[in-house]
Amino acid sequence: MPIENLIQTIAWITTQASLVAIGLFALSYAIGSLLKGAPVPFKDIKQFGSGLMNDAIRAAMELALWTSISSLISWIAVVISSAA
Amino acid sequence: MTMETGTMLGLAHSLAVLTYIFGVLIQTLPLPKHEWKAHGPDLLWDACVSELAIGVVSTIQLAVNALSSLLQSTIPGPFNSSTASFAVVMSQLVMIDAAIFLLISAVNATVVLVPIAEILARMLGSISNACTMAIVLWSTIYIVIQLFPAVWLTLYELGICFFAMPFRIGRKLGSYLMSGSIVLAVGLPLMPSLAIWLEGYIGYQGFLAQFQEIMCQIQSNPLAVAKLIELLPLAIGNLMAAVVIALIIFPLVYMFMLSAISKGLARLMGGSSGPTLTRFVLNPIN
Repeated sequence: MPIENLIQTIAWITTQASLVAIGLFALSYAIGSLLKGAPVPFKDIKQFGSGLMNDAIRAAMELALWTSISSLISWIAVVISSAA
Repeated sequence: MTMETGTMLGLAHSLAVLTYIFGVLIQTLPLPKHEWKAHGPDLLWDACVSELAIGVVSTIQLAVNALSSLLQSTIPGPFNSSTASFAVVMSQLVMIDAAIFLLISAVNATVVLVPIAEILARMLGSISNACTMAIVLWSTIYIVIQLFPAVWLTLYELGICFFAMPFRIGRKLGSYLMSGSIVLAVGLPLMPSLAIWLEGYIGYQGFLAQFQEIMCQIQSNPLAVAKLIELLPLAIGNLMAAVVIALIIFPLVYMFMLSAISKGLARLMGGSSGPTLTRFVLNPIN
């Protein structure tokens, strides 16, 4: 079935993208901590480093939370269905 | 749930997961581009909305059926089913068309009254045209009404698939498909019953009875046409006004109303707001 092949392809792309996201999280966190800890007297650079670390942590949490979010949405859907 | 439904929902789910992962990916980019990163939460939100839409498909189906039957039962017309109302509409139109044809044929058959037959043909030609147009219009509507119950859920699922696409590629189309399928599934079967109700409100039955009486008198006694012809313009005018308003203008206005409601619902779902793919690339949010 072409649609099933398409679903498998999308699932493969999703897996690759999540691997890239994990790699980018590590890279962003490393760059962020590097910039934050750099011995340079530039406040902007340090703030940018801090922002990178925050973004990376938030994204990693969202990545890890997907199963929980998906389950929560399914539960909300079930609640709506049972109320209807 | 059919196999096709499950497959479509599976596709929508996989697209929603992909959108979510892309949202996370954009947020983790180690670049000083806040305008790019701002799209990350948007994609996460889209994925969550799509997942919710996938979860409530059965509820939407139940709600649409319940709302449709509720509205059908509250219409102040004589019929509760769209098929019965449609049959009445078609029989009325065919009857008017046939009556005009028979009248002109009957008058034309008498050699003496051929000029009057020509005058009648000119007088009644416009109403015959209107009736034929209405028959075509209502036949089309009937085909769509018969077809739509089997199709609307697939359209809704297709809408979810478009809505769940990454980078909001098909968000607008998806929300239009979802809202349009719901609104048409509820509103379209009501159209024939509402048309019958509107006809009754205008006073179609009285005009039709008057017109039919004149037709019967002319057909039974064609030589009396000279006396009865002065009554025809008013009878035809009233009947034509009722037919045109209830069976030609009303369906068009009703379809326009449904499209406006559908557009509003699509906007409520977020189809007309939010950045498009070109905005992602060419004109990012500042």
